[in-house]
Amino acid sequence: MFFFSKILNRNRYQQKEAQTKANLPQDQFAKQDSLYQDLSHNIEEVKRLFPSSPDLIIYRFVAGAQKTPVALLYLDGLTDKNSINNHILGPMMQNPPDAKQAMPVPSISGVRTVSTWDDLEAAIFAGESALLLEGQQQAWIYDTKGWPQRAIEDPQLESSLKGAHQGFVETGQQNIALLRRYLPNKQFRIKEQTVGQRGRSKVWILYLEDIAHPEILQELETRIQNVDVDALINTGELAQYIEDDPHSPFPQFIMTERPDSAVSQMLQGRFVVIVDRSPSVIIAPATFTSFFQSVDDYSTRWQIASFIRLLRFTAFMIAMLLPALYIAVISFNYEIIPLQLLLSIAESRASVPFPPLLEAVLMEITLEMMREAGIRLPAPLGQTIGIVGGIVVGQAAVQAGIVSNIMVIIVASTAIASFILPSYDMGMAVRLLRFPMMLLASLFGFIGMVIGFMTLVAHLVALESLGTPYGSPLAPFRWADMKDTFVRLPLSQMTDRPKSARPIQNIRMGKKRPKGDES
Amino acid sequence: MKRLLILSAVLLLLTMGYKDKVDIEDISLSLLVGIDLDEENNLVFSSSSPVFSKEAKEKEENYVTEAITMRKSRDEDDKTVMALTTGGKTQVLLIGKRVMQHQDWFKLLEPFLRDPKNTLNVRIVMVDGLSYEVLKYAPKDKPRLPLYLSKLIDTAAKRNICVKTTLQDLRRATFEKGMTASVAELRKDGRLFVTGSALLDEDGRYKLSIEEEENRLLRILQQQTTGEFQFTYKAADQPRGKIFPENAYSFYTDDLSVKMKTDYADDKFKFDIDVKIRVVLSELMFPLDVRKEDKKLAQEIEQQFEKKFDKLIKKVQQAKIDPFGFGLHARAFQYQHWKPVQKRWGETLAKADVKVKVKVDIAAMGTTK
Amino acid sequence: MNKYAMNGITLMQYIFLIQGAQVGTGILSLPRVLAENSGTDGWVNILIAWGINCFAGWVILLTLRKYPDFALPDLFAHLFGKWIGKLLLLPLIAYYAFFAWIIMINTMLFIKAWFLPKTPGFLILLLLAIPGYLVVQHGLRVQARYAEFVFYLMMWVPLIFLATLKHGHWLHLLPVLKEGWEPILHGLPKTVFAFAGNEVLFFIYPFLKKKQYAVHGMLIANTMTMFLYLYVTIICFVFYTPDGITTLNQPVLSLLKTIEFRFVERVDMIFLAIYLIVVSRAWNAYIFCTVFSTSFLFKKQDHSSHTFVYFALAIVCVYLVKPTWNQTEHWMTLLSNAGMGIMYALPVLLLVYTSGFEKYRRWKAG
Repeated sequence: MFFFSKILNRNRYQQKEAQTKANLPQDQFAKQDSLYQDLSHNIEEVKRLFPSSPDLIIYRFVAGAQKTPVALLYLDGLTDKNSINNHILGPMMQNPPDAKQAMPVPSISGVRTVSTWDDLEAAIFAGESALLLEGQQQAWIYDTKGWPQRAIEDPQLESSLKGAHQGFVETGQQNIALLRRYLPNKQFRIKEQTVGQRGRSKVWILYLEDIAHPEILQELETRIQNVDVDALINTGELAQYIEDDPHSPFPQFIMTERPDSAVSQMLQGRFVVIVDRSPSVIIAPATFTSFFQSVDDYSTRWQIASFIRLLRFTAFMIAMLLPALYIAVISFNYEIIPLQLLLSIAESRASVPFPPLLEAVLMEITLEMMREAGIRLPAPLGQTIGIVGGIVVGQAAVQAGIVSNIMVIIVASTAIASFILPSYDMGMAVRLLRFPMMLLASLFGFIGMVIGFMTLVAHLVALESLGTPYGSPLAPFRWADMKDTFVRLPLSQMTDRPKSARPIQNIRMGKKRPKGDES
Repeated sequence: MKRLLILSAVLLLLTMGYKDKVDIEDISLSLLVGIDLDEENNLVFSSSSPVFSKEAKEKEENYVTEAITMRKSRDEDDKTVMALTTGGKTQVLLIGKRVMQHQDWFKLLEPFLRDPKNTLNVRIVMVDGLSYEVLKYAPKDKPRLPLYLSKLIDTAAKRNICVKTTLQDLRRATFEKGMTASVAELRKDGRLFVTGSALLDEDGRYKLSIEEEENRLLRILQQQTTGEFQFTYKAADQPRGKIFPENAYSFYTDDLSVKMKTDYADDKFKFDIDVKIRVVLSELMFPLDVRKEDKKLAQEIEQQFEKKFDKLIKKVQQAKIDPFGFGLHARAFQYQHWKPVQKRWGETLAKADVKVKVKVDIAAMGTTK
Repeated sequence: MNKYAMNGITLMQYIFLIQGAQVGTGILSLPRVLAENSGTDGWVNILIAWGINCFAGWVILLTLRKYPDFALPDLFAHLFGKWIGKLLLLPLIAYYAFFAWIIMINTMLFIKAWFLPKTPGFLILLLLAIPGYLVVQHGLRVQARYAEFVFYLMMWVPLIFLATLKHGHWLHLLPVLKEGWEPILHGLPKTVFAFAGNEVLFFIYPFLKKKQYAVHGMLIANTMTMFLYLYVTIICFVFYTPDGITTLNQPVLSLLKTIEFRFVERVDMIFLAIYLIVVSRAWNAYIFCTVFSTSFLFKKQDHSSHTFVYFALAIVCVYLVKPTWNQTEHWMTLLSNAGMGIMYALPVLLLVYTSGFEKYRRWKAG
């Protein structure tokens, strides 16, 4: 708790560092917080602050008419060589003799001065360059950030047919820029926070001031502040620290790498959380049904989009319940299937030596192994796994009499169904839930399945995402939101924002709509 | 404490579940069940169930046992069958004619009615002969006997050759005072034939049999006008022909509507039934210009129909039964008069006046003029 | 200041909570009970019982309207003082607890008969307790969402019944009022109890956000139940002969048993399994009333631990008692007698008492 109040503090770096130093007695050289006047003294100090750092470049030269000795400090690799050479060193070393001012000015933006060692250290770690001058108790900091970056490309996990083909990258500022491009609007707000004692990840909360609900923002901010960890490597980690129910199998936030879907959620009043160094962003609060929507739904014709939506919900049920249903039917409630189907199932089951549960689990686990193996392997090899697994193993297993034909059909269709879901996290949740369902079905048949289903409903109804009901718009039921849940009605019908994100501004279409740019 | 309880609950569920698990391949489904009486009036139960093992040569296993009740007979079966016998999927219940001739044979079906696991949709068929003879029939050109038999009855019922009576229907008819039951009738004569329907009396005893033509009339009077109604009649005013029937014609119905009026007068119930039929000609062996003489043909058909209706009703009245369900109308519209006679409705109906008036429209004559 | 505003429920949720509490396993045998007492005119009974219950619900709301922030335990404490209030609450707690238990037992017996004959009863109850606990534990708002969601989820189920209509004879219903009014009135007491569920009003009313619609909501809930009962009863009467329906224990299930689709048979089993979800609303509602009251007795803010204890006790009771069909039926009769008191006598008494109480206070104050 002590830390959280610290983070809140405006001078958070200084205080935190001070405390770290107090905890580390071996740091005995740090006698003074601020810089010295003497350049060599300062450089000695820097060398001590960055022990075993061969990537720290200390470049000493003289600059200006007075031939002032200066030193430029930066971390090699984190900085943009081009701007250092052309815009800092260039103007300073060329040094035209008729210069009026004593000191030449580098032609670079983002200049500030720092006077404490902590600030200097933080700046250098962030990829900025520091210029130390003889006789000055402060350092000039230039923004020369530039590190290896991936090009912006189509996100692999959520490829879309008709949407934009730009995905988020690992640099937070770039990601913000990607979103800004969609929303050049005054109401676009960004809140910055830093998470992680060591990693010091920047976390930005992006939202539209006049739409998003302030209570949810408050909640989100508090939760992010309360995260007290060493470092945040990934957005997925942050999501787990701030979610409502850590024991739920369901994802409570949407994670996306697509700027377009992030923007469309922002326009509905949701919040986007960007974590620096991670290409996926959190969209919160999420509802259960929002995992069944994809950006493509809005760019295709509404009949087709509705059909696909319904298909996804059907697939969800199939993926979760079909193997369980099979087990329940063949070991408890054979009465419910028509005779001819019953006879063909029984004939194919007759030579299988295992009980249905084992048969099903065997096949399901094989399938999951193939899936996992396929992820790790490069694409050409991954296909081989599919062929070997799907055709050879399946066929051979049936012929050897280990599993029945119908089981293979069921497992295969379950697998296909579980991949239809646009959200990877939801797909995983479904794949996992299948196993307890199968167990329940094998213990109590149909009744076990119904109990499992009820438990699921009970859980979903009680689950919340950032304090908003996860089951919305189904429970609590919101009739108005139904036009964009199981079906997607024509866009002209969607005059109001969905209520599940509790937007404070409802109308989004037509003349009366607030445009967000009035002042 | 709470965690401990939850843990033990989970353990309990895991260890004590499975109790009712019966895998499908361990079940012996009695798809056909037969009930007979032998010469000494002992009950003989027979059943046929499919065999799923690939090693078995025969597809069905049949068992014939003598037992006091059906449930007891299952006990006997389980002694030899390598699976657990159940009646959850029984397709056809074959009942010998000798059984049906006795009062209260319906009680034998008690296990089907009481056990919620058993089906109510089993088709009830009366066998003219011994039902286990039917069970043993294993034709080479047909699918498994249970499938074949149930399909046979379903399609025959669709053509209205016989009635399709499920156990549920039979139960309804047995309890209903205003209607008596009718079931399909089957005969094995080398092959299996659906011969028509058997009509039962109020106590469930077999009374008389009707063939397909009368069965269709029965269905019309029952106001059950689904399925196909096809008739072949011989025109009275046409020459018979020497070898080939030159006076025959066939038609099927396009639309059928039956309206019934119930009256009570002179201590008698009166039923006036208006049957409206639109027919489509499918066969006409004699020359007739249907365009001009349709009225004549319609009249001819009407007369034929009325004659046949009267004959059927007379026959039924003599047997003192009511397979048509006239009693339902009597109760609904003449409750005061129905109430005293409801216990002996068959006799009352025998004295009632039933008039059938048929109105025929020729809707189509087909492609030939 | 309403201490229940935190858990406020919408009007729709209020309606579905009441309706959920009313629809239990009784509906499965209701047509038989009606036919036994009043023949094919039994359905008229449902209309009369509906009227009576709407009136009783209105009386309950008349009292509660005076104390919009009070649930029944608060009201008792306010009216009778702390200790007498708590004492008077005890029989009510017993009623609610027992009622919830009976509904679960009934369901358990159905499951045993149709699905799992060899599985011990307490194990089935344990199964039922899992989702039940998850719902009730969280407080009324979650429970209300559950009730609402289940209603929408199960809306299609009554449509299955239409598949039986082609085998039905509408003539069975005629003539209407064939024996006059006497047999109809004869069956009334049993029908009235089929609408039991209005008594949850005592507990959910303070949570309702828009109190001005409380009466409307109660009427809508009762009307929905009435239509459901009427629908099922008439379909059963049309399908079964009036002479035969009384021989069946659960005509509704036997009716569904006859439905066969090309892809699925034995609809009664599917229906019964799915119907479990519907019935769960009923016991959840009564358990909520129970644990809400006990938490009040023990001055606990959160009723989740009491819910746990309730379910544990319910399971243990089943393990010890091993109830049978006949026992349950007997208990049901006892319960319906008690229910009469709570549904009809208690509201009237409370109404009379509160008006006297208020007058006395005003007289004392002024």
